[in-house]
Amino acid sequence: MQRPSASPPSGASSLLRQPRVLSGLAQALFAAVVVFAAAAMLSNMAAELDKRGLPLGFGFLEQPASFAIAEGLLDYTESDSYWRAFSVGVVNTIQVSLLGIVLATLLGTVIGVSRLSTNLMVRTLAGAYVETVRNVPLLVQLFVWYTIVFLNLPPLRKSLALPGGFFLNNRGVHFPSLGLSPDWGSWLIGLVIVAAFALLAGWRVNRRRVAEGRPPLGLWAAAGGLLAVALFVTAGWIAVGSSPVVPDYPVLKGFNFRGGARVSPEFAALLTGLTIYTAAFIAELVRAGVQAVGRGQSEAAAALGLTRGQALRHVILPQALRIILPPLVNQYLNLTKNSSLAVAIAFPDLVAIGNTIINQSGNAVQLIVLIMGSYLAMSLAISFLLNQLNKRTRFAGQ
Amino acid sequence: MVALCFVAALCFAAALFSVALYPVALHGAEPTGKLKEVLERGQLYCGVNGKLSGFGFMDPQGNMVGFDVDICRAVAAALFDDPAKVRFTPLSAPQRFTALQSGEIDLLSRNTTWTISRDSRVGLDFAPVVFYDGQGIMVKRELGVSSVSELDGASICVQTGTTTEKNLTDYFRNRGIAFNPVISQDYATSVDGFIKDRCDAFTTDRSGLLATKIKYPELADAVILEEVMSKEPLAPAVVQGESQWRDAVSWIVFGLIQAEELGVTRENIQRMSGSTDLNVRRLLGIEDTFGEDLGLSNDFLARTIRHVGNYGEIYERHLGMDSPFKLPRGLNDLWSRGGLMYAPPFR
Ligand SMILES: N[C@@H](CCC(=O)N[C@@H](CS)C(=O)NCC(=O)O)C(=O)O
Repeated sequence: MQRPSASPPSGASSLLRQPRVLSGLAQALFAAVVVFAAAAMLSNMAAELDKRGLPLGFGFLEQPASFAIAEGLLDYTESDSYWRAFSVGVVNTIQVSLLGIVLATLLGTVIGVSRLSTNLMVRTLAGAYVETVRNVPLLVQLFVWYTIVFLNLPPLRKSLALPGGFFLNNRGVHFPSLGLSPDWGSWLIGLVIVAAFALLAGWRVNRRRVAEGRPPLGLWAAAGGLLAVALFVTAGWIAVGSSPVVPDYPVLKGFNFRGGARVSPEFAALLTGLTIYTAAFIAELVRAGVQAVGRGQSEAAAALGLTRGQALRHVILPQALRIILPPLVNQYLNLTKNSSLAVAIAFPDLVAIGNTIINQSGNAVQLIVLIMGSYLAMSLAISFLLNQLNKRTRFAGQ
Repeated sequence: MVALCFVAALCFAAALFSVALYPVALHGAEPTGKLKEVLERGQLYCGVNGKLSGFGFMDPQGNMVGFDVDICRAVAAALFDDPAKVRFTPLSAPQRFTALQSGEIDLLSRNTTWTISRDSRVGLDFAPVVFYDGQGIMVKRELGVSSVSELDGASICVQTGTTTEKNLTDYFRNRGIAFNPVISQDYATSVDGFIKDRCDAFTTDRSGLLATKIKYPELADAVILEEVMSKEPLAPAVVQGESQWRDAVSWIVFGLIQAEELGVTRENIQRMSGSTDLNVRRLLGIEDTFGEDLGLSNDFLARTIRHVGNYGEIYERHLGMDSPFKLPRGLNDLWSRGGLMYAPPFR
């Protein structure tokens, strides 16, 4: 129903007045500008690189890195390729991020719940923690942890000896590790046999129970199996005098501790910093989530005779979880990305190693692409996993 | 019609003008590429070290000073007759090459070792070496270590993005000595680790070790071991593929060396301009047109020497007897005195 106007618009201009068409055009124009700008930048970059004789391929990653890396879960030597070196960085980033996520979640939950405590002292302390930690930049906190805390631990020759073969100094925490004993082969065979017997026994017991109409043993059977294995190991140890694994104690030899395992101050500082920082944000999410669960819920739980702790664990937190999960994903992503601040404190994460490769090989563009791709992949993986979890909790809760 | 006539007249005038200029264009090269860009901008963008005493650091008054800094000033003086027309960008080891590749700086004068991979793969071109150095290693006196071979199993602080980190790996591997690297992106973090005993040793160019000792009083007692672990010829660098610009920078550096050889100094240059020695006259651009042939002015080296002095003067000022370094010239002396400083002929 068009209103008659003084001069009827021509076909084209009337089309232009329709909001749908107009917004479609605007979007197309915007997309065109973005595509054009991206293409211009890319071609400019390619031309400049070409002018300097710098190739854009990834082939150089096969060349030997020939620089050392301070630490990493992956085995690496200087004669390995740039690829390998970069992978060491990726694994290091994943390692510190995963540990950080777990620890920050635990700490954050405790602090968040404490903020709602009826105990004034606990509540105030938790509040102070959140306010301080959230308002100091993470980079500053990392510096404090690294140069003021961890590097100021006693030097090597004045290491603090802790019980259980632990040593603490400014080169890290050294502790006994478990290594396989020389006759681990015979032990393995023995263990397989015992485990097979235990499984068989458990299976037969359960079959009889089911036949008799009684419920099968779950946890009990598992515990029995473990007990059998433990008995076997103890018996063997007493009889033969050897165990399947032997502890490897760190001992000070020459310039450093040898043997055992070690957490470096760089890793420790990064993990501590990330955990403490992210926990403050998670605490706020937990507090908000708990507060968002209706008051009636805790009253009902109390009426049923649940203690406050039980109510929290069985009634409040499961419901709060549904509210907390989506923003929690963001905190996990932040933690992962923030781990790139490792470059400031000498931990070889993927950015640090990426930077070194850029510098030694000159291939900045390729490495930036790899670094961005790695973070993107990790972020997508985390969101995917948590979204799956999110779906499941929703389903269970509704 | 009138418009057409006007355009035609303009074309004619332009043609006349260029014919008139032709003889000038015969001498001297038109500046192109990077050289033209820098000349037109009227300021040199120079990447330097911001933290290394003697080479490039900020003095308490907020001025950039040092040996490498004076190379930037020498180039600015040659181009603009004014050593102050430089914008300094302090760069850490891992930042420096990207700054050059991306065009953020025109010249990198920052204790940078000339290596084959940097000259090819990394996309740089080098000017002549201004300082011959070698890698060294420093330990605290109380360790009682006197040679690198005693460092088996030691933790060693080193900065990334350097030749140092690669040499360290090679040197220890070749000798079958184990070590634990502690690798920082940042020089200050690295030194801090050494001071606080996170590491048993700290390694970099020997000049860098000395500079570090001078800067940090805590390290006054540290010992620099005898071994020279590598060759570190430090040279200014420009981006690859700008040959006119690279020639200009190269011959400014050669000019500094040649001036020392000919005894032309900041003090005596006025008098030397009246010299009858043809070598001096050519260097100062009184004879011939070498400056113009490079796309510069003929007196480009006279300007440089008037403002910053010759190579020896720059050296003594920042690293030699007039400085806390008191570093003997050694390899950095003129070839005629047994060193490696040697400029090709100015002719
Ligand atoms: N000459 C070596 C090493 C140069 C270098 O960067 N040295 C370090 C240690 S003395 C440095 O100057 N660092 C200062 C900084 O990054 O701010 C190279 O070109 O790779």
